[in-house]
Amino acid sequence: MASILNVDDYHPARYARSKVLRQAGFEVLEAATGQEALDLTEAHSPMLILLDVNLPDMSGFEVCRQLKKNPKTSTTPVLHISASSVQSYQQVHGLNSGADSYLVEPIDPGVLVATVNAFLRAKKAEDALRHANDELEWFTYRVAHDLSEPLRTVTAHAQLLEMDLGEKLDRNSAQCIQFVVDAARRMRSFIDGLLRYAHAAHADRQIMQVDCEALFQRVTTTLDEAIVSTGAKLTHDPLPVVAADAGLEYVFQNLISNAIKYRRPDVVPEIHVSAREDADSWFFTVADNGVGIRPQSQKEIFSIFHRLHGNEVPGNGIGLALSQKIIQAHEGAIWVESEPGTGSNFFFTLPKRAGEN
Amino acid sequence: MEKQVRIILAEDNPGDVFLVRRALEKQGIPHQLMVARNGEEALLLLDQTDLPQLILLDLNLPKLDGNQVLSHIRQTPAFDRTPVIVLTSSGSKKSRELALALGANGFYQKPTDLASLMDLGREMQRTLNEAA
Repeated sequence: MASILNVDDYHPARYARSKVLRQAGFEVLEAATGQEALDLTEAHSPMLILLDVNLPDMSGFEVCRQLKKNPKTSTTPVLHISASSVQSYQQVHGLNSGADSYLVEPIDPGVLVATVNAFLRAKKAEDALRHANDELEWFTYRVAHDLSEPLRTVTAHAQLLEMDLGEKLDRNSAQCIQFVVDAARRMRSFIDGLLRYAHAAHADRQIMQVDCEALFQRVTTTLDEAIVSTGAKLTHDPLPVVAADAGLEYVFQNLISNAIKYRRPDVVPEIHVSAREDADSWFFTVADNGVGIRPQSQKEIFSIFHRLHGNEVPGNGIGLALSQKIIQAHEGAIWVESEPGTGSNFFFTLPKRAGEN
Repeated sequence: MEKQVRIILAEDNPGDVFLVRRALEKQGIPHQLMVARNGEEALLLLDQTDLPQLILLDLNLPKLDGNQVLSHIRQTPAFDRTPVIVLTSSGSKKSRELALALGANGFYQKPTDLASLMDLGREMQRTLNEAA
């Protein structure tokens, strides 16, 4: 059975607390120093930690910080405990450093047990949610993966049929096959997008230094055909180097590609990308002079499979939802401001990471 | 009559067997195609028939997967110069690197449409020409 870790260097207090918890039916592990606490956590994965703030070898706040930084222990509830002489700024500091609660002695035994139970309930609910989310991602991936096989078969064989029947095919039949092939292609596009969506917030994304200038050049190369065929004018201000994962290129590509796609029919598309440095983050703008988006739709467009223009404009409805998922995985935000008939400004933020200047 | 190229294909999906045949026909490669439905059958076939001129391996085979069959082929002296093309429906970078590292001559995604079918045909022709 999972246990509670009780950390306190003052033996009588530690003993009393363990007694209360054991009487309430919990298994209790004890530690008297910060290092012992970290070692025992590593070895036994306790379900909750009571953490004295004044430890002989390191500050309890530091222990808490380390626990919260480690992905294996970051969701374990940590409850600080200190003497009644604590100042409120210390409590604030402890809570802001990541602790889930801050209890001040003397703690009524009943209140201690009730508080522990309350946190364990919340943790259980969080774990259930995490698990359900993981299952959903896995399910989405499997569905998309298993659908793509037969879909590939439909397309390949339909085209072979078309080729085989050749001249023997009358106009109706030829058109029929064309519809089949087109529909299969659209399904494939959905499924590819779905697969990418399922993977976007994957745990082992690799964060690296991304040169946005180089990224911009890559994107213009990728979109070269669309840019040339529409005569689109693509410009940018100096762009920074940021800490991000490979998904950032997708976001740039998606926003610029949309700006080209949703152009006004009689107007040469003009798209400008810029970035501004704020205190804690980078603020990017992709501005276009396209058809714009009505206020009622400005939030909806980010939901998966939402297609504002139906089948008039090609696409699988995943792009913005996926871009949002990628930006959110970076702990940023993405949104749009737009005036129908004038153009749209897509904004997104990327929080700076430790070590970035 | 032109000499038929002896090809062994390990593939459990009949639709994909069909596609490989069509690719060979489109490319105009006269062929004698022997089909194994799983990895074990593939190894049996290799044991029992004359040296094939080309081996096509689906990565996702029942009983013994494509990579295992490939390793076995490359460890058998009689086959170490026989060209092997690995076919897959997913084509991740990792599986490509693994197949090439195990000794495959080519790694291709199964045809998704007419154009990629013809690409496969050309690839097979190119591989046969290089081995000759």
